[in-house]
Amino acid sequence: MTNLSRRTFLKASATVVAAGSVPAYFGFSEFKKAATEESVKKVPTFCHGCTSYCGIVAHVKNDRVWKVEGHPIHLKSSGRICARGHGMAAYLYSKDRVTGPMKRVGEGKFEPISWNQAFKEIGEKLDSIVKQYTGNSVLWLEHGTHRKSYVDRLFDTIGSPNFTTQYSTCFNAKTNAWLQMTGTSLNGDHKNAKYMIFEGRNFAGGIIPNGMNHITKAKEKGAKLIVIDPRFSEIAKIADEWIPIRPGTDLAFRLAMANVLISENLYNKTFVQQFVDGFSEFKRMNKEYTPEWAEPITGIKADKIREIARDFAKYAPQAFIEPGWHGLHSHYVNSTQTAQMGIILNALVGNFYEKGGLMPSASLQLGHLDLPAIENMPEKGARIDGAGVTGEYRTVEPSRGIAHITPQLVQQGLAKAVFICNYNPLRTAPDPEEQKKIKDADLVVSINIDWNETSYYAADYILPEHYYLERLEHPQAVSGHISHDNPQLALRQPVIKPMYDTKDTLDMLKGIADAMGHKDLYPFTIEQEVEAAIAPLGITFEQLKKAGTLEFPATVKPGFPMKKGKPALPTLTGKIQFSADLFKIDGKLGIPVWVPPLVEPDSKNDHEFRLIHGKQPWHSHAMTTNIEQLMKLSDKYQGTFMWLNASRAKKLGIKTGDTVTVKSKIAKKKVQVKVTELLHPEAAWLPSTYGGFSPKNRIANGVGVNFNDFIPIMVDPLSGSTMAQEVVVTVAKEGN
Amino acid sequence: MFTMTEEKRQLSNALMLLAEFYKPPTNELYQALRNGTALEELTPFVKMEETYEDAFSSYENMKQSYIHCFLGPSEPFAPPIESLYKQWTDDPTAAVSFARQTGFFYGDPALHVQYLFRQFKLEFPEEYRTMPDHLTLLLEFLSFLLEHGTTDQIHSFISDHFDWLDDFVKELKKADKSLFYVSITQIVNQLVHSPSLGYRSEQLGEERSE
Repeated sequence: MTNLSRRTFLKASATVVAAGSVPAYFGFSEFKKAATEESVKKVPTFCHGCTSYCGIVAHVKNDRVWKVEGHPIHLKSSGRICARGHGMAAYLYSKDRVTGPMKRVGEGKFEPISWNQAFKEIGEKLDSIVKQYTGNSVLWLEHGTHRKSYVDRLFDTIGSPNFTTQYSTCFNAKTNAWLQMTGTSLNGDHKNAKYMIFEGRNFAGGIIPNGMNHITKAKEKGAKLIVIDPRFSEIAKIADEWIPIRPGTDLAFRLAMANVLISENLYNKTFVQQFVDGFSEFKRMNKEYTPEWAEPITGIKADKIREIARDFAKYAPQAFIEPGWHGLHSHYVNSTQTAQMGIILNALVGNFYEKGGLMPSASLQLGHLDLPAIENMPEKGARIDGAGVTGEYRTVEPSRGIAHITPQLVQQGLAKAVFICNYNPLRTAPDPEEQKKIKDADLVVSINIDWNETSYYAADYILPEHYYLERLEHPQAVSGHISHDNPQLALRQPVIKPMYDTKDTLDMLKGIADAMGHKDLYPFTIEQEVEAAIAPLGITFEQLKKAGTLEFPATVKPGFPMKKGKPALPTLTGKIQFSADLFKIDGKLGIPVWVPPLVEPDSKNDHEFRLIHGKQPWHSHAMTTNIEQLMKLSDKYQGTFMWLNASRAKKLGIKTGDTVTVKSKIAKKKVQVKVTELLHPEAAWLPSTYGGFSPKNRIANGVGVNFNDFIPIMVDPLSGSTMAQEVVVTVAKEGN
Repeated sequence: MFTMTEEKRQLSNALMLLAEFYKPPTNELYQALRNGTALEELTPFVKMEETYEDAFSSYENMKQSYIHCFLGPSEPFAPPIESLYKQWTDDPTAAVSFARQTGFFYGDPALHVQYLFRQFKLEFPEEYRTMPDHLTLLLEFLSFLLEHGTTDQIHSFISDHFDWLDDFVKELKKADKSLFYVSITQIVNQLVHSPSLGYRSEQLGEERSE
């Protein structure tokens, strides 16, 4: 008989405990009973269920995550978390995570490889691409900028300017307008407001728990909340008034509001005189935009526009139009002008730096490591996506880039190596069939935790990052969405040891750089980085680890920034510039004027609708759709259904639960319908979440459809966004 | 006829052999399958109806099958890990949303097995740190118990940690086109619940006390 050799994994340490030494809990039942008595440790960190990054406290028992709850002092959570926060924790132990580095060996076929093999192969390939095509052919796509400082060192070494965020699919129009007109960014002071206009903004859908808390507190004190949205969104449920605006016409509404404020002398003249540049030109160009002009465009009665403008002025400066986020700011050809008008309206009522109006987020000056300079840095060329480049997308912020045109850059031979980190363009950017062409780059590396569509269809290598509950990150100064006077610092720290063979992105970059021959490019650890970051704050790493979120004495006070008696915003004039210099292109004045949407559904065609989309409170776009617990909520609430207005649906003979065919120029899909009065008749509304098509994501795969299925790749000429609601679809009942 | 000691040794060997199939395949293992000798050591304990010479067309094919069935680059797959087939925890204080569900790593079984390994001062590779209840380790531990444990411990361990194999086979059938790993798992199931480890275990125990 042949004796095969055995690879014994279970090895005796120094002394084997022999028979007779019976463990106290040999039996499973006894052990489980004893395990229930173990103590619970609490580890503060922050969530990754969406970009609110709410502070959480993870309870850990027997080295397992046992419960997650909101961090009591964190600005975004204030003791509460949403369904997504709970769902994300479940994925920690999911078998659907990528458990180690993978290499593509065929279509839909991967094999596990070692980290060393991954680094060696990726490093060699990248080196050869840089030598052949220069570093300018290398692109890094990331959800945000969390890992930018790490990527910068590699990109400075190889000469690539192409760090790109996904923000062109999210909110570029907003940040661009704010940057050009104010040089800063302010948030609503919801807590102290008396009048709030939420236009295309939904704190209860894209949940910010403490934001909702502030709003409800303000409402308890008598504040009015006006929600302007083609859909009765979740926040509309607590609104004093819901105004179902015709989609794509928010710019007209805002222009008309400004017209009322100016023509009825309701604007804050003192504020405008002192802190606004370009008012006269604006006033001149705004004259034609009367409420009567806006009424047929927006579908909102002229009197209603007047009423809102008057109330807005009446309650100012404790009144604001929410500066917004995704809604409105990547949707239309006029999104940038719409964002500009948001700034202008707030400025007209003089609510900048006023309590109850718009206030800044308290910030912190963090320290940084003194790293050795990179020697012989190659010169970087122009960004290959053209962001900020004269003759291309000059007005688009180069710090954010244009993520969704990556397949075109690959097809044009401009992008040879593409790294995609914490981002899934194949599902969350327009036209997935086009996005799949990213795979044609010579090297595609996906740094994601799961088998998302990008990993499955496009990646040559998948490098799984530690899950958010397993990793330490550079500390984060808490900001965004909600104004606050006291700076906060939050730490994402490991709650448990990593479950699988995963790494930090820093370690991955170290490995790849090493393999390229750039030794010691990263002569530091994340721990050292944290120490350096907090050094100026007078706190210790231990303090921060223990607290998770630390709050510092207030640094924010009302009052417009002044220097030597003059307005001191970081703009050319120090004032709010109604005419944005950068937008003065093609002979334009940079002042927002009416720009109609690119496309319109044909009012004579009962089948045509404008396809619009939005977030659901229990999902974060596509990133949570493979979480079983959250998809059960989708089942419960008919979450995958497309909304249609009842009167329009009736004409087409469509009832709730019916399956319809939705068709645009690029796609034809089937989806079930929810018929409702709570949607503008011209719109068909889809949740932004569904339509997973990675066969590896067993929960998400094949469930529902996604708005990105229907929209071609387009670029907003001013801000580079996707213009994701510039699409007309036809809807027909199945069989018709 | 085997002596009891010899039978124990062979049984222990058989368990270790079966454990080999749940580790990444080696060329040696593939070659042994090809020439029909891989499962010879099981014949004293399990009635072998097949020898599986043709289960895989090549070593590469066997590796791919292993990856496909257990490691998950494709779907469906069925990791040979006990926690996935049992409720994650029975502890009523757990407040995570999946606490009473199946399909999650590092459940109560993993904790228990990890505890037992520690009690017996047994070490295992780092990559199995969060999956001590992997079938390969469970089989190795059972083999270890044959040598170092008591009859009660063997019974108890089998009863506690080999009661999920039917559910595993059900899932594995969806992934394992060759049905080879299904067959091996059925053999495991048959062996751990056979007289060799059950009815006759009292004799083994008696021998141990000698």
